[in-house]
Amino acid sequence: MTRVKHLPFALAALAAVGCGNDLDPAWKIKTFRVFGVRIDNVSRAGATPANPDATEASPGERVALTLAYVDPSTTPRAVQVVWIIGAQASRMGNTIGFDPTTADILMGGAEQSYTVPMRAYGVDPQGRARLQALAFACAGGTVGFDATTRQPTCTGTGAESVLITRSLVVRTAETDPINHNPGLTGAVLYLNGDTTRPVPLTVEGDARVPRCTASDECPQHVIELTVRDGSRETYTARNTAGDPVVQPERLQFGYFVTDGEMDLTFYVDTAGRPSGPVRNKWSAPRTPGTVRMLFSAQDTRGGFTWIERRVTVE
Amino acid sequence: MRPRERLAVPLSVAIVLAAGNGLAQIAPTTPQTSPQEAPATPPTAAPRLTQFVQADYPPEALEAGIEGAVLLQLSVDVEGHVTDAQVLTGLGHGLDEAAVAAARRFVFSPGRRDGQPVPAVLRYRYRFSLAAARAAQQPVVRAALHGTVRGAGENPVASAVVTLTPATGAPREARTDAQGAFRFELDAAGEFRVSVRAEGYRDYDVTETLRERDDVGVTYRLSAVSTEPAPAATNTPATTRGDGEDEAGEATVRARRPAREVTRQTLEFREILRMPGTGGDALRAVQNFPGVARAINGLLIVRGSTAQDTQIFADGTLIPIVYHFGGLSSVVSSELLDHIDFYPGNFSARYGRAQGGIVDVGLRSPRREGWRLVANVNLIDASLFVEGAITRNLSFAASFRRSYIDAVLGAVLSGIDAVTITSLPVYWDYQAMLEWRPTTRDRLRLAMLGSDDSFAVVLNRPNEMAPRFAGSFSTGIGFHTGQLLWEHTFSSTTSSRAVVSLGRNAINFGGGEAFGLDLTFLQYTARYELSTQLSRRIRGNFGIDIVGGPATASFNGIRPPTEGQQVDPGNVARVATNSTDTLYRPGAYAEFEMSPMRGLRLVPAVRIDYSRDANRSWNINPRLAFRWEFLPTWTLKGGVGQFNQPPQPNQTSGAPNNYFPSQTVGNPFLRTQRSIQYSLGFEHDFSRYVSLSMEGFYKTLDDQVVSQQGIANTPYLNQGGGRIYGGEILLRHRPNSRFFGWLAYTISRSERRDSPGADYRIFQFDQTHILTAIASVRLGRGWEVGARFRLVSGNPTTPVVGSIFNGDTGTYSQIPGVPFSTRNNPFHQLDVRIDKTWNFSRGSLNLFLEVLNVYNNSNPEGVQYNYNYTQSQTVTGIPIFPNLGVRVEY
Repeated sequence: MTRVKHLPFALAALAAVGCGNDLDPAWKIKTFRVFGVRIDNVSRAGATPANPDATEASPGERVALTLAYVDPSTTPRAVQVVWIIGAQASRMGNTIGFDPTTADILMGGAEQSYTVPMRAYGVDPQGRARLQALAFACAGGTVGFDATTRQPTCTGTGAESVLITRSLVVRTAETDPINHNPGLTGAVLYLNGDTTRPVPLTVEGDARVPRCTASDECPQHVIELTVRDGSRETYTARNTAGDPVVQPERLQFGYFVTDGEMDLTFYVDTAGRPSGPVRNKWSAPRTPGTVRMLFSAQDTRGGFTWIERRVTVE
Repeated sequence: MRPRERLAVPLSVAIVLAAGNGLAQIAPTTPQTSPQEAPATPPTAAPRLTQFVQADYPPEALEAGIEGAVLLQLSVDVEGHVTDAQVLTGLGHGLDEAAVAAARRFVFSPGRRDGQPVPAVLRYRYRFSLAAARAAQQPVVRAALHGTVRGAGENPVASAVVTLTPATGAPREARTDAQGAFRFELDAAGEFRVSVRAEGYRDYDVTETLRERDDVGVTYRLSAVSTEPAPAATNTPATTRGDGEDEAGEATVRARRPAREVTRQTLEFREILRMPGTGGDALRAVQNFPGVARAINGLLIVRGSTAQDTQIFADGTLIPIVYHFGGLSSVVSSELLDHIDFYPGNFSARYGRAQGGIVDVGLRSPRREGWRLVANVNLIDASLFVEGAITRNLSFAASFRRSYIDAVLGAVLSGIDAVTITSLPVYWDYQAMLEWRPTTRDRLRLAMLGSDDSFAVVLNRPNEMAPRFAGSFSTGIGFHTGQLLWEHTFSSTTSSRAVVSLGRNAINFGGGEAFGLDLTFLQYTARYELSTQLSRRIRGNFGIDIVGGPATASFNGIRPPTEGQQVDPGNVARVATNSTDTLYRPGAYAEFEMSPMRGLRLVPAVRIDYSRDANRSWNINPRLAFRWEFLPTWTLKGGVGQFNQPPQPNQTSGAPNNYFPSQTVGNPFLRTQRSIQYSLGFEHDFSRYVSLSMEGFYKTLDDQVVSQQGIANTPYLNQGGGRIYGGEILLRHRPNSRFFGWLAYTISRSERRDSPGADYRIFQFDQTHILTAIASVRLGRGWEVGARFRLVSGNPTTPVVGSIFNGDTGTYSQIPGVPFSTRNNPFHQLDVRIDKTWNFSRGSLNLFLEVLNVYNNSNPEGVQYNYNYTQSQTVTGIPIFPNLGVRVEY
């Protein structure tokens, strides 16, 4: 048998935890950023963005596509989004693959609606039928197309853009329970980690936090997200032996701020911590002002949601 | 004078031998009287030659093509000794003098008259035959032993008497020249007793074992009579006493003459121990040869081939891993090594199933007299080695090594709250062998080899570029192999070698919940070679070998990418399987070492392989290599051949993918991959120690396995190809008493294409220029200083031209540019090693300090990006790193 090589595991471990990294962290919002795309099946009875919502759709059903983004620019800018939605090419589950010959093009803002067509679909890594969406979001500019590079363009002074891909699970059989978006119902801040005195975070920035005046390390506050009950749905998956197993979703939570210092970008449920308090640490900046915060939650099956809050730093 | 130039076989050998058997061939002449001693009347019984002396055939006559007979008149006294020899009819060109010199040393049974010995005068025709002389030059030398005898202060010992005694037959004797050098050319391999006697020095005895075609170089160091007690007669030569300049364990250095391959580079023991930058590790030292690319993780990238294309053997047994933790040290102790042969290409038909290079690690025999203990301790690991004789014919050796990087790395990682260590990184290995020589013709050896690496951590902080890549990570790689070797000598022209092994290779890897591999391979190997002299000019080597066994795998993850493939692990299809595949790969070969003319060696060969797991492929590999010594010290060499290699077992696996039952894990219809290799070059010996080798090579690659992400059910196809070409230069100074080193330079280009008709791209590890300079100097009083400098082209990289936010994962994926269209900056690094050795009456102590990257150059090894690939920074290699070690030998 041929030899097996492996990289020095210790070095890999060090690399994995980001030792020696001087690059911008993902939690820091410095530019126009997109954090996800929420899909809501608006055809299902009782479906509204405020309620538990299906994130999958059958052919003929209508879905709403909503871009979760933050533009930290001091002056509000219009965000223009071009969507191309079509069948994913059969590429062994490569989600980037896209077949443009069967595509629908949608243009508008951060919210769009789309009716799932009846035609051939791609297959996702779990073997489900799906459509692939490719979006180009342009903040403060005009969307165009460069025939030379064959890439979309976003032109304008200070304009910024993000290229996005997102899959839409198409229900071609009703044998499995439909998947819903998870829910985030709120966020609280514990000053200096004191969990006995929660400070609710609001959209308006009612929560007030002292700026950091420490000469070295700033005190860390704890931010805890409130997850709506039932967000961690159970579903049937295949185990490594190919047998069906029922298992709960493990949610991934994202923390993004415009100022201060987050400890982690993501919090992820694990087998040993399937539904504990979703907490992260944040240090206030040294200068007063308003800090925008975006918190997201997503499962591995297409469900996504987010909330945005503000904190006033004094 | 070169030995073969001294070889002369007069036709009279046969005559004289016959004479010794009573067949009178000597024509007695009419006695000529002299006033002093001539008999009054001729003897009635003529003198009979009882001891013939072979005359050296003068090179001048040999080159001029002079042959014939010199007619001599010999005077023989009453004791049978030749008192006078006169040339009656001569040939010139030095033949007359040679005949006279030889005849003067003849011994006769004296002539007799009336039963009493009397002086006699007779004529003797001494014949010189060109054909016989040249024929005698060719096959007689089966092995050679040469070397130097040294005394205090490394000074050569001149006029020392070196006596070589074979197990059967008469001893041979040689005197060292002014440089202390001697040489024996032997007509048979085997075991020899060597004794060295020199005035003012203690006697020294040692046993040397020479294999067929060995050309072994040794250095014997004698101790002065006046200062120290005599060293024990050992397999390892004595150490110099009194001045502390030398050390034990490195006195015997060996080099074997290339025979069956175009190019074979052999590392000698001192080079292994003292090579800067390798920590005394043998296999890491191989990476300094020309043709080997620099790799930070210990991969052997040979002549532009992937690491999987080069195979590593330990005495014929395939080793599943080479290095601990990807390059810290090799899995076989250097103390047990006899030699390492490295074949960068166009290798012998003895080896198959590889389209890159071959590294063959030869384990040495344990000493057969006394005991020896060696302990090595450095900042990374410690080892203990012991060997000795149990009985006269039974000896053993054992080695064990364990790392303590667990303590070091554990302390480092314990300060990082992102990581919880559940199993500290540890590696260990062992080798044990028992050798038995029941007869002088047989050698049996039972060996056990084993190695294990393990490490486990829990990553507590989700990585911001792959947040679900968290949880428990573990890796474990190990093997345990039992090996039985039997060498048998049927006759002086025929020998055989058989090696069988049975072992268990285990690999497991856990990467959170997303990746898991648990592989157990019960590997058996067998190899048998019969080597025999088919005729005076042709030697045949015939062999069979097989590799096989069941491999049981439980896998969960993504398919391992093929060379050059860009993979975003979060965005490709997942695979899960539980399977057992049985490998069955037998092979057979025939190889002929032909010497059609003086200095020319042709080695045509054919090898046939069968690979059941590669769609039951049959491969016939014709190969041809040649070496032609067209001038003294100048050798032209070259070769051409076909080399096939089966795909990786996971690539041919027909087991179902449990996530997609309609798919298989691999493609069971894959064929073997093929390479055609050409090479041409020359070698020149400037002196006994200094040589130059230049070689150009060209390789084509066909039927290479490439990943096909876009086609269901055929994840791998034989669609890849490639071409590799370049040149290698090696200017080498082999170890002598004061110095060793080399300058190696490789220029090459390795290209691949992933489908027929596609454009060629650069190979993933292509390195255009590789320059390695190594030098090690003994300064005296036990000090030795060495340095290694490397200047290498940067590795190819694929630029990132953009990124795309993946809404399914919440992270960004890179948009790659043209594959491998940019390079890292060149790599350059200086490593220094300082040794100090103290010798004692029963052993030695060696202290070394090795400093890697002395001037702390920030060598680029890769690029690290931020979360959305808009920022990047260079990942550099190791900074300046000192390593301190001690080696104690007793």
